[in-house]
Amino acid sequence: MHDVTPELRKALLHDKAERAAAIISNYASLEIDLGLFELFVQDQGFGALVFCVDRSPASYRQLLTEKGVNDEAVFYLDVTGAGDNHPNTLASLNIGNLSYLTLEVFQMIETAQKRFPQRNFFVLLDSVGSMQLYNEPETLARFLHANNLRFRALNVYQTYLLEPNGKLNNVVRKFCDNILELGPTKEEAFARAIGAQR
Amino acid sequence: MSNISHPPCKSVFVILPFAIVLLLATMARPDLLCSQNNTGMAALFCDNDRTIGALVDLIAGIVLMTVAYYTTKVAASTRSRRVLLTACAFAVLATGTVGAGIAKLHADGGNVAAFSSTASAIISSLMLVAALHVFEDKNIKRHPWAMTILTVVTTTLALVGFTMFGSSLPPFIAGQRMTLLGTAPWPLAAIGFVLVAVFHYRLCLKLHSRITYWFVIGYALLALASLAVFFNRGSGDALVWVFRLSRLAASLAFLRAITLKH
Repeated sequence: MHDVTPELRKALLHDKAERAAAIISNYASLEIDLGLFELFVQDQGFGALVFCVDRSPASYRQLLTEKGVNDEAVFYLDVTGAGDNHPNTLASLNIGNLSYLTLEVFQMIETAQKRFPQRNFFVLLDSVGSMQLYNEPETLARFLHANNLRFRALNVYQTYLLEPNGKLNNVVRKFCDNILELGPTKEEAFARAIGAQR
Repeated sequence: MSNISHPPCKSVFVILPFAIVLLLATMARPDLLCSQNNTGMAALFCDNDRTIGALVDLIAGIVLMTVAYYTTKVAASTRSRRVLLTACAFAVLATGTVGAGIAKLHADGGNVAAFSSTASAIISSLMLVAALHVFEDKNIKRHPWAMTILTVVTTTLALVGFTMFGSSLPPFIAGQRMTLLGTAPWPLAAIGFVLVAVFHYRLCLKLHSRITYWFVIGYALLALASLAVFFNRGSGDALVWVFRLSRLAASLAFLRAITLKH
């Protein structure tokens, strides 16, 4: 597993006005998720709001436990239908209904901010690509854009994980304050191309 | 990473012209190309004109040095044993090629040039094969730059040593004409380069990387160059030029690989 935390530490949260970051990478999303949890939750003491589209809340919790990250202020909006009964999890009815999803997201933020009023929160959306399977790109773009404004109003930091050449990259890049491209360095790519296994 | 958009098997089309030249040159024996009074193109294929041969060797050697330098830089950055061994293999090949070029500039440097080319080809091919089998689970502890410089210095000292004590050259190399024994290491080198090319071809199928693609071509050309020496019949044979040009083309293929954009 590639450790992206040092790169994230170097690039994010240096500007006080920064409220949204787009991370474009072909690394596995779990590697970047872990890096973000380490930076925001472990280093900076943020709480987290996670959109669970590709993985269940239980698998995120397991990851955080394994890596020793305190997850008491990590909240999950579960659209996977995994039936998680954890108090920090809110089960969503339908990933294809973005109006409901918006209501649920802000209900979750309200709950989280009430329980941890001293904490700043960040929202993690690592599955923009998967959400496109259930929604038209234009509808999804409108959902992301409108919620970005609400997140900003609530002082919630947003992180979006995007694949290189993703359909919505241009939209997300426009409203993000920080755009970070993560990938193997030229040397790493060269080493892999000539047979280095790491 | 820069990816190729076509199947890696198309690398055959790059190697094919060299293979055809190799075949044609094998059929057209030296007596066809080297008469008593060589002029024009025929002179290029004979040992009478050493300067051009030396120039080709020197260019190939310098290009290979550049490849060795870059590969060492990558080894220093990634701490990969495999990359470091590859870098050392290129350093040996580069030193041997430059050595052959310099030796060729002297009227009686033919033996040293033959020895330099033979030794560097066989050693580098063995190092490249070994690189495929090294364990990658641990980071290298020694400094990669020191290892590569040590390789270059050792190879240079060995070549200078053999040049100073010319009589200590193996008899099959120091003989007036190429013998079967003298050319015997070359098929071994060719097998080594083929193995490495096959490994990289399979890697290219998996990664679709343009860097790997050009490495496949480079190794295949080195294998062809080795075969050309094995089949050559001595001074003036066209196959010597197939060898030189294939090695030059191989070095340019490696250069292409290291200069590809990220």
